[in-house]
Amino acid sequence: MDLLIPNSWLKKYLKTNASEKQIASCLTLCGPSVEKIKKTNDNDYIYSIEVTTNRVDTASILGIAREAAAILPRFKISASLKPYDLSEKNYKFVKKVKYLDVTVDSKLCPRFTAVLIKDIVVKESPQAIKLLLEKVGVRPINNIVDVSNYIMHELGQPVHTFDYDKLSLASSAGKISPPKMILRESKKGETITTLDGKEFKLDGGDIVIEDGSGELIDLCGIMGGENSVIDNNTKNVLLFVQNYNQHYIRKTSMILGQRTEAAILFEKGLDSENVKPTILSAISMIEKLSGGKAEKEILDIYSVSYKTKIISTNKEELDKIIGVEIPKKNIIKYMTSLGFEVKQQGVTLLFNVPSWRGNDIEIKEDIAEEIARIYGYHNLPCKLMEGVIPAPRINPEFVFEKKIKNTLQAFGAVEVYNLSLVSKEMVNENALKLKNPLGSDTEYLRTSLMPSLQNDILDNPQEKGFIHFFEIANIYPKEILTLAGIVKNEKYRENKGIVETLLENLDIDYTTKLEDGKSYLANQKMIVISDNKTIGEYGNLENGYFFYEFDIQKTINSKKISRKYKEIAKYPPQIEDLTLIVPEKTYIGDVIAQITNHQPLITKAELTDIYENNYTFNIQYQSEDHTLTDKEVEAIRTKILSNLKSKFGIVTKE
Amino acid sequence: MKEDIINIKNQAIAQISDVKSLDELEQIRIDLFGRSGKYKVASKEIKDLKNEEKRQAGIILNEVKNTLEELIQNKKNDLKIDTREWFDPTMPAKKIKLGRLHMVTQAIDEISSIFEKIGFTRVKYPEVEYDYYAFGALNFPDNHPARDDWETFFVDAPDSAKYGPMLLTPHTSSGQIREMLSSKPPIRMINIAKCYRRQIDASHYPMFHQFEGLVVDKNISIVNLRGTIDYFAKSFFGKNREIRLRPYHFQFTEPSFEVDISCNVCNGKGCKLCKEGWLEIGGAGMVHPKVLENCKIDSKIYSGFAFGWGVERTYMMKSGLSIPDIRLIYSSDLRVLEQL
Repeated sequence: MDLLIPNSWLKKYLKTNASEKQIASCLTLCGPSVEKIKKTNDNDYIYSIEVTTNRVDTASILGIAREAAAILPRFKISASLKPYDLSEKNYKFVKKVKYLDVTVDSKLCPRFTAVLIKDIVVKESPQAIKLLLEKVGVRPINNIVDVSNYIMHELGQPVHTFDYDKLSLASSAGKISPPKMILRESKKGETITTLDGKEFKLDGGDIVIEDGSGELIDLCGIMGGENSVIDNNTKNVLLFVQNYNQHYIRKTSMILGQRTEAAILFEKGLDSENVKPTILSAISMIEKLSGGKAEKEILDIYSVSYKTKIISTNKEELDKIIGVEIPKKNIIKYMTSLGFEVKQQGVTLLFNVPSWRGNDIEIKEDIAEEIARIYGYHNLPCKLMEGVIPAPRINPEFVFEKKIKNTLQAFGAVEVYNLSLVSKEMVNENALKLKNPLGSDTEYLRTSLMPSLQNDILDNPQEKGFIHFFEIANIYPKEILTLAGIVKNEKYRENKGIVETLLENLDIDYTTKLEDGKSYLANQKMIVISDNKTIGEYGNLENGYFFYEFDIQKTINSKKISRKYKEIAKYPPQIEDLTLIVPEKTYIGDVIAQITNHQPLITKAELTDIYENNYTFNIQYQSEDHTLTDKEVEAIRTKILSNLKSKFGIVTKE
Repeated sequence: MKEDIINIKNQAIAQISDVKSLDELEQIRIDLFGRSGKYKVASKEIKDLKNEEKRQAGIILNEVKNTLEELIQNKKNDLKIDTREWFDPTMPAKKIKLGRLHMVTQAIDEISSIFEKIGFTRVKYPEVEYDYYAFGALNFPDNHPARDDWETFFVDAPDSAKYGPMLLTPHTSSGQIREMLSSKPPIRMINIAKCYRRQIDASHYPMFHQFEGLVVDKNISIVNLRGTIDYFAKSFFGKNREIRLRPYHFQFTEPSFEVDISCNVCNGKGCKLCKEGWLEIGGAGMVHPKVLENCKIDSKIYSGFAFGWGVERTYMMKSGLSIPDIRLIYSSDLRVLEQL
């Protein structure tokens, strides 16, 4: 969470000669990060500070002052926290008061305090107060509301005020009795209008206060009800300081989208011990600014008070975590400056955790963190680990993936990373669906990479020529790592060449089989088989693009071509071109297979030219043990041609 | 002797300047430098001279040889110009159409190779995960905001009795749990994977990548975390860059840090691009003892550290691409992709 802290306000609690820059850089290194310093027209400085969620105790002027007082001395800059006086002795904290009849569910509200302040005059706040509020981004309203905001920023504890007379009217119903307040969980369907005029219908399970007649007067921890709001005619106020169950507040605030400053504080879990100084400060300030007079009895329903937490550890354990030795006296000094009490019992160090750190300090590692950060992370050396390197575990997937990517890049393909989340139209019926998608266009996990890749081509209307996109990503419902590519290019043989060259480069021993499939043109899809398992597919899609897809794991596990060295042939081949007249609807693949598969002495048969139905093949004849004679070649040729004629009706061109 | 040589030189200069063809020129060269050429003969005579004279003559001979050879070469080039074939080397090149690997792939390659050098093993774990691995075992309390519907994507599937709701992993830290459950210390893992969070704006895309380092061994301290991050930062960003740790908070590490790297634009002085001379890279911390215990690793014997950073962000910080909107990285527009 982000805070604004004016330097002048900070100095109310912090005694130091440090410059604004020093305060900012020291805090950043050892505590809350100061993101920015802004100079104001009146020569003040405002720090923008990021506070982590576990350190809500620092989300206030006092909290930052406490940190600075502990941190600055490590940089040889003197600093201390100024004592602040709260005249507690004038008041009595009691469980029951005459002016209010309260029922509290302590699970929802661990500490509930309230006091009636009579005879106030609502007016503008003094200029100094208004100026400070403006510096922390709060719009001044009137002296009563301003005190709430002022105290919240100063002490980190939200404060609320009700118009006491509006409460009385709501519940006294003829009889003179104190107003009633029942703090409970909301019921589904209950409504409340908050003081910003918004009406909310509640889901149930929100912390609310009703007035006994069923009407809600407070959406606790978020915002008060409109029905009890302070206005210019308010004479008597009920000052209200509570701690609420953080999880309830978070839920309500998120569901209703009401991210008020109070809610953001409460949802982090506040220190119930801070409630008392807060109400005392607020009383004193309201009295001063409004002329009112507070009752001497303050209602305080505090079911479980803070029991000091003690963490036990020793110097050796702490040094081991930090990695350097820190003298015991420094450990004690750093921790004491942060409000911890440190006791020694032999080698054991006992750390008493202050109430405001009660939520975040649990174990010795937390203590080590406090010591190390005050010591300064920047003062620690950089050293690599000394232990042995773990035994190698090579995942073949990474190597394989890299080889595929490099090969395709060399082929001119462009890699894309498409969003794994797509619309219903882009998946099949087994798809995994999200419970809470951002929108219907990203509701499902992909079941194929094809639809996204098709869109990728459509996203590039400016590209008139060749496009080749590929992607390696998981598809679902089972997480299967898949390679897929799409090519915009009408030349089928070139496209098929991409796939075959890739497979060749990966040493895959495979065959192909014609098989129709969804989204492909009939008779234009091939499946790729290795070791009797289908590892992938390719072909022409209905929209005219060429597509290929492979299961990476299956491809890795497929049969590989032997890479064993083969002697270069000793005897030269005889090479000739044969032009054949091939009847229509003859699969050329079968023709080539017929030429090569049935004649061991034919080492190559390559289609080099097509003109109408004339197909020219470059044929290579070769023997391992002698140079073939013209006669031998002729015999082979004759045999092939007669086979081609009988099988396909193919004749040679005269 | 000296005069003889000067004469040879002067005579040759006159002949060379009159030459009309390459053949003629070649003949002059042979007459001079051939086995029984004038120059050769003259140079043989030196051996009969006395010391000082010998040295003098040697110098002159060398000078004459250099002068004449240069003259002959120049003449040769002059004669050739008229006879050479026309060729235009200024013609524009026809470039080979290379494809392009995605920026994220380039980043992953670079990052993993740096960590491999210091003994880290790259691993991969599921993207569709269970609550236990993504949160529970990482010490997230039941009602932590990250477990809200507002921050994490949940899959519409029955909960696992053992591991809770099915979700899209919001960070690579789930890989820490899987790694520690499946292997024993010493562990040095680097897990690079897709992650998902319910956020979309100029600096967030619902899908992104993280790289997660995890080291678990005896005697692992903050000093080692600093050492490792410093090694990475110097390898990846350059040896002049410095790192710093700031206090931070994560559920699964204690202590936790935010890591910054010194800004290369202002060299740490502070400028528009950085915060007082530093740029934020990401989070890190010492593995929380509860997380070790959840993975059946004895936290009294072992300790560890972990860090998990955004791949896109880290790479963008290095590349100087200044991409105004992170969503562009996941564009399929070739005009964008070709620049990344």
